[in-house]
Amino acid sequence: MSKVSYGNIVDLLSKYSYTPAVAVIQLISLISVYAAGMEIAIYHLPLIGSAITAHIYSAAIVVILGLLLFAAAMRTDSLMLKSLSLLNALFCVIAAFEGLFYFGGYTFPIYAFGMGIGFLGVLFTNAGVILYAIKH
Amino acid sequence: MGESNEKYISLLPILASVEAIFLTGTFAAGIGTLLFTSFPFSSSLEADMMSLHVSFAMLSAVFGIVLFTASMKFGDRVLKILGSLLFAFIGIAGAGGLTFYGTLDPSFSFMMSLGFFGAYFCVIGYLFYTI
Repeated sequence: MSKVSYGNIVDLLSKYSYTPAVAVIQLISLISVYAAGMEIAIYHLPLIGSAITAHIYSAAIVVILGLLLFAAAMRTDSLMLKSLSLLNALFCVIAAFEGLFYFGGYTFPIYAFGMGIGFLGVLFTNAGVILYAIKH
Repeated sequence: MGESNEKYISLLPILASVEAIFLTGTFAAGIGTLLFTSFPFSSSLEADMMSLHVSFAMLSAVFGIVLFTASMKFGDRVLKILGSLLFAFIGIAGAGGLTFYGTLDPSFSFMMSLGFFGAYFCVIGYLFYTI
C-alpha cells in the first residue's frame, strides 16, 4: 500500500488467484441488488416493472460471482478465504430461495425478511474476503 | 509508538465485532419494522420493534465514534480510511432515519438503508483487516 498506481492496484486485486477482484465485482452487483430491493420494499412497488427486473438480474449475477469466488478461493492455501467463500455461496443460496418463495406466490413478509438476512450474510463474507485478502 | 501500543491494537477487532453485532441488530429490527408494521402504530408490538431499532442504532452510533477515535490513534492508513468512512456512513444513516421519523417521507428511509450498506461493509472490512 505504498502509492496508488495501476500496477499496484492490479497486484493487490490479483492476489490469491484473483479472489479480491471477483469479490469487488460481486460488491458492485450487491449494491445494485440492495438498492433495487429496498426501493421495492420502501415505496411498495408492484412485483412487475424495472425495479424487480434490476433486482432479479443483479441477484443472478451475484450468485454466479459467488460460485466463481468459491472456485477461485479453493485454489488458494488460505483456510479463512476458503471458509468465507463457502459461506458466501451458502448465504447466496439461502437468500435466493427465500426470494423465490416470495416471488413465486407465497407473499408473506417473513420470506422477505429471510431474503434480507441472507443478503446480510453475503455482504459480511464479501467484505471479509476483500479486506482479508488485501491485508495478508 | 512501538511496543506500548500493541495491546491497544489487539483491542481493535473486539471493538469492531461489537459494532458489527450492533449493526446486525439494527438491520434485523429495521427490516422487521419495514415489513411487519405501518405508521401510525396500532399495537405495542410494533412500537417494541421500532424501539429496538432505535436503541441498536444509538448503540452503533456510540461505538462508531469509539472505533473512529481508536483507528485515528492506533490504526494504519487503511484503518484510518475505513474508520472515517464508517463514521460518515453512520452519520448519513442516522440523519436519514431521524428525518424520516420527522417527515414520514419514504425517500429518507431509502437514504437510511443506503447509509447502512456502506457502514456494514466498512465495519466488516475493519474486522477482517485487523484479525
